[in-house]
Amino acid sequence: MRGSSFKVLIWQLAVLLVAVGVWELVVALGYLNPFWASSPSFIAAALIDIVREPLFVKHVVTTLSELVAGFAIGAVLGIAIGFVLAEWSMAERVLAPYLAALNSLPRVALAPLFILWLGIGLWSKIVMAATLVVFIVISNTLAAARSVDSDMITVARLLGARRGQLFVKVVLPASAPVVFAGLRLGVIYAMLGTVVGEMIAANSGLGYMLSFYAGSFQVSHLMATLVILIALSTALSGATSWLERRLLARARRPTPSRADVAPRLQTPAIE
Amino acid sequence: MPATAAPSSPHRATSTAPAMIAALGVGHDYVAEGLAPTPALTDTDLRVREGEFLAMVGPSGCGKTTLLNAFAGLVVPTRGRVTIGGEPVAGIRSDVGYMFARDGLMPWRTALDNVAFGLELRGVPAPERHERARTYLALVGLEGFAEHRRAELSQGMRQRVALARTLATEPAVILMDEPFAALDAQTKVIVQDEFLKIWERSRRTVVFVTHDIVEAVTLADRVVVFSERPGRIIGEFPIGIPRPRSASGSHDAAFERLRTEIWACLRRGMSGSAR
Repeated sequence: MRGSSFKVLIWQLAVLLVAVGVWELVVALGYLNPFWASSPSFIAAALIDIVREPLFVKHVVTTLSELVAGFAIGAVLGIAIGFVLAEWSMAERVLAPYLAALNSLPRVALAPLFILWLGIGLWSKIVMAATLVVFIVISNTLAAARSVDSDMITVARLLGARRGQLFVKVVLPASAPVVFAGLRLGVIYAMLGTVVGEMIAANSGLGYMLSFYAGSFQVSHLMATLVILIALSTALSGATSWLERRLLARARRPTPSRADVAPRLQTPAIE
Repeated sequence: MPATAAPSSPHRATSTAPAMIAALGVGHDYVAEGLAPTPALTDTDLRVREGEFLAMVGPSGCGKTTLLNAFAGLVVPTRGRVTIGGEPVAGIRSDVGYMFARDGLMPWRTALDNVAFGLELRGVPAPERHERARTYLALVGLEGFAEHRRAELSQGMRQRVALARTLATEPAVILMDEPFAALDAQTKVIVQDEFLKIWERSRRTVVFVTHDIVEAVTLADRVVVFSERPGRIIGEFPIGIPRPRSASGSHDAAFERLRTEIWACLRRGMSGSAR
């Protein structure tokens, strides 16, 4: 098992090296114009250049804070609305067509409107990101709450669970894994909303950098910025997965009274 | 329900004892939108004495589960009255336990916390409810599996955890809907034996739905037979086999005779192709 995953890693590195090598070679041999295609070594140089730039940290902080705020607002609203709709089926039936219509609207098209309303600062991007996140989280939360095993609900009701208890002790923990899957998608959508918002109108942020470099024909710098964006969203996805594992592990921890240090009599399994 | 005299029962019941569970003229129709109502159960009268173990057998769809669910407060019957402890059933009651073929265990909880769940819902403090849950886990032979989660338990163990969960709230009445039907033949006998032992010690009132005649005769004090849909009671068989009983022992002539009689009654209640 270990050996095979090590083998996979080696091959993954090999694929990267071959791709980078071919790119470099094709540019070096003159088959591609580096002005348009750049090359791995030009991108590396541009990356160093960008990172050394005094304003670089400010750009990253701008994008990150818009992204995190937009994600947080969208996630909280999405989870809350999702569970309310799941519990209150009348509201869900009334609102379903409107939600579907809003969800089918390419929300990026709203960016100019948000910029008109909220200016070119942080808030237009935060709202942009949040509108993208909220729908994906609503639909995941709704699906999660609906797919809770009905036997568990029946058992809880028969044992006397009231509605609130049913929600807190059964529906919430049972839906957590699917809700988290929605949040992982939400991070990607938040990134999308933030960067698109910055590209349309901003004076700071990685999306602003992208459109600046594109406008001034600095392809290597543009691609270096893309590398930074990939690194950032990979890190954020990793952070979400880590948080998920932490939270779910906590819910799965043995009961506090477990210790009791009672000798564990091993009854032989009967099957 | 006022203490109307129970019909003279073949057992020790005094005729003045009120029924622990009673159904009076109960009938139920299932209504689906745009379709004529389907009658599932008609004209059913049934009394269960306190401490009696009653089994209900019948072909599938005969309404025996519907009647059980009416006792549980899960179904409001279309016609007739259902009482527990003399009071009309109006919703789920805390002194009634219920168990069905699927375990419904919560996979994120340990076996112990699944057993303690009913007590947790009732606000019993953690140390006490864990103590009690431990007792009931031990009773079903799972004291070594308190910290195991559903995924780490075999089918038979899961059903025993579900049994412990049902017993842990110490209900006066236990309603069981084919609780051992999902178990393989050997496991089933072992769990039946365990349940018999537990029941014979506590003698709670039990209503047990099953399609397995051997199981009904092995466990119950009395077996009632339902006809096919719309179900009604077409036969009643007191089971005089002395206790303590065992599910794993061999069946004597009396057992075989009861089994054959119940089977014959069941067949009479079925028409057409099923016959």
